[in-house]
Amino acid sequence: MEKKRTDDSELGPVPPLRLDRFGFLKQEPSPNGLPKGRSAFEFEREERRVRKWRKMIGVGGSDWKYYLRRKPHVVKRRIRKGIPDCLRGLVWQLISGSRDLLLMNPGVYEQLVIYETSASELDIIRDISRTFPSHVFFQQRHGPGQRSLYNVLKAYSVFDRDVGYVQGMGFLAGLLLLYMSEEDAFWLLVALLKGAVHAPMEGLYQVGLPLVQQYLFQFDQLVREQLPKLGEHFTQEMINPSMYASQWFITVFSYSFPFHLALRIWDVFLYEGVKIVFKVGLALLKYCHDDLVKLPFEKLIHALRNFPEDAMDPDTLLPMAYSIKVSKCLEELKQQYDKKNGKNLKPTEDEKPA
Amino acid sequence: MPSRRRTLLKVIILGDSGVGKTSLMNQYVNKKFSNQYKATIGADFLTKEVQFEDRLFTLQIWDTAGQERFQSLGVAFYRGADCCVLVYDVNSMKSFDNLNNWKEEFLIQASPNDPENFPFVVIGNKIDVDGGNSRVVSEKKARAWCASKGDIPYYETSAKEGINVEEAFQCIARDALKSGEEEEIYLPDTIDVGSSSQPRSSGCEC
Repeated sequence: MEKKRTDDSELGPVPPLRLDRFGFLKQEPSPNGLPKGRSAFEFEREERRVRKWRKMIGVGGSDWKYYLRRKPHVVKRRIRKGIPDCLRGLVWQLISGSRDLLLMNPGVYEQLVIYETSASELDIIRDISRTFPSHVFFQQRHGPGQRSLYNVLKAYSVFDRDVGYVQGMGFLAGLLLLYMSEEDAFWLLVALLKGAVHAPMEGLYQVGLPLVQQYLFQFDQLVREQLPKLGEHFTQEMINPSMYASQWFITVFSYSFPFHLALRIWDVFLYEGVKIVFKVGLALLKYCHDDLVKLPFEKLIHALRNFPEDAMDPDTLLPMAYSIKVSKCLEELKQQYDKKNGKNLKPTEDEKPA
Repeated sequence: MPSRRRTLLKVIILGDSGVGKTSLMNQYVNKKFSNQYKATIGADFLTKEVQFEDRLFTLQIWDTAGQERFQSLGVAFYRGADCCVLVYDVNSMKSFDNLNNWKEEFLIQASPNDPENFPFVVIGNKIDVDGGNSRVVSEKKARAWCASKGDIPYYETSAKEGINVEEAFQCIARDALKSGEEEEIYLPDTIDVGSSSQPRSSGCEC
């Protein structure tokens, strides 16, 4: 009822925030590659997709497992086209296995948040305002967004005290919190790091960042195999993937890529695993290949951290990424890497090829 | 592009998380400050052209992630550095106490030819915060530490207000230049350098 008619309250008129459809503050003029004003046709197509998806997952996800068992390829194809935004939060929980974790562990999250203390609390607090700082949900100091982010990260740092809190985890948690509740986001983080469905990601954050090192090795070799001319150019310019790709893996493209692209990558990432990160990385290099091979070191580094907008259009980039085959190579490169590091005695059930 | 000869000076910025490394670099290179920097993941990189006595140099500045765990990724950037900037926050004793760790760690990882005389510059940042009232590390204490470590040049800055940033970086560039490790680089022209003779740059030491 209280329509605030009094424009000149103590705070003065609040300038209207210009937000994009995901809640990020709009950058100056740059249209972020999204269709402005959808046509009636597009709108209807979107509606049809949502109806198909609803049918597929059933009420609250009740039909999901059945459908998945019967028609995994249909699921894969639909996910690759992008999960409808209104169902994303639910579907992510279903495909990541986090929903099952949540149901099997009632009360655990609350316990972690309320009763436990973590050695990482100060580290987490320091980074809270530096995680998606341009998103409206996380902007307000001590607001609900920042509080949720803190809770999820603190809970995780208690849940696995060896990993604790590592910079980068905040971007995973932040992205998830835009689509689900704190507790759901926490269990999805657990599902990812502990490997509910795919290879566990915790090695990205453990001391020495062993999995980052492994992925960078694999990525470097893949570039050399699949884009030899560029690989050669990188060697000449002394560029290695740790200079540009570590944040791709550590935050699964959520750190600095356009949000609508990051979401599409996450759809596939949660269903198909980390190989999509390699594929997208390779697709970006492939798309920009002819420019990149001409650039000297400094411009090259800059270009690898600031891809042009057309390269980051999901409808161009993702089909290109899907067409790149990496599974077999990744497996071989992992063995190579383990051998190089004298780790071949360790059982390696965690990387599965398909 | 003309194949013009230049000199490259490589600078690494180290220090605890949140002391303002990214802000300092951006203030120096872009003359801008933002409240909206994200925590640096891995490393970031900017360059700036600087001129000394008619000679043009490219200052290549590597901004690193401050969390200790990311140090294992640092190796690739530390090598070949001409100057290392150690940053702390004058409002945080811990960030000051850690300067020595950062210094030692750098010398181990970068293994410069002459570690005794490798140029460091120390920056105490965030002098603007709370009008200086929340300061816990005195200038005297910081200068004493720098003196004890072989007269490391010391600057107090505010990356937010742009105070002393230019001066600090001029000193950094000068020291990098003096370090004698001038690395002549040639912008790639059509000469085939012969790939087999190139040292592999990737090899992450794990």
